[in-house]
Amino acid sequence: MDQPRKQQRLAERPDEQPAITPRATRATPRPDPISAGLRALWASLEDEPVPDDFLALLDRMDDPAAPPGSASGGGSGGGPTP
Amino acid sequence: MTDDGDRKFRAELVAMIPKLRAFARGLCGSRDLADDLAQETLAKAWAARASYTPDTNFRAWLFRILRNHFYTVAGVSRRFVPYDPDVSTHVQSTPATQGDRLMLDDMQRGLATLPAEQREALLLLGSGLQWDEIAAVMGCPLGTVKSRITRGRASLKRYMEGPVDAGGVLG
Repeated sequence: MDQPRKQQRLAERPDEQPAITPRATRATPRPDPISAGLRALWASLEDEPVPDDFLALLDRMDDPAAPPGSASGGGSGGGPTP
Repeated sequence: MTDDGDRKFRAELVAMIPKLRAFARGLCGSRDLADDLAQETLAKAWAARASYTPDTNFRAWLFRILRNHFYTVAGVSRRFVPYDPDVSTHVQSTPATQGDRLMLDDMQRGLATLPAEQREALLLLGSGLQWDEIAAVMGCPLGTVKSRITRGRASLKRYMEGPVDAGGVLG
């Protein structure tokens, strides 16, 4: 149906107004409690204070006399390994 | 890497410590073991700093090192146990309502019941990583990540909702 005819018909018969679907209902799904809980759990873990020995480790890594990797004592290669 | 490069790398590494600790806690539960894991990850990342390409996804790079180290060491020496079921009793959190605290405890217990790969995928989702980043960290196809997240989320939801009363009306 072309636009002018449609408008004319709606003006004559207002009871045929198209149903309006609230946009907000369609656009914003209900928040997923599991996702929200996972984010909250992560945040609670992340907010724990960092122990001093972490900073001491970084200080040792900063020692220019120490070759790279000497702070770990933990083997070779830190890159991603399959 | 230049001195400037090292300094920048170190600063980024320091900023990532809380996230590394959180991921490690999620993987192995126990705080002490998780801190060992996070520290070893820091050291390995520092040793491998020359292989990191600046301005790429640093967080995903670090998480990959951490989880690879976790599974390698866990598999070989079983030093890092898969999960501490009492983890929820060890967690500190920011001030929260009792309801929030109970919900987080429940969620941790629920996560502990999941297979490791589903738990890991959900943890990474909670960290804010996108699905393709999670796939990169876990070293598996995107479809596999989606499947793990979907199944893990469904199991967690069932756990959080509690057991269904199959008997219906009593008597």
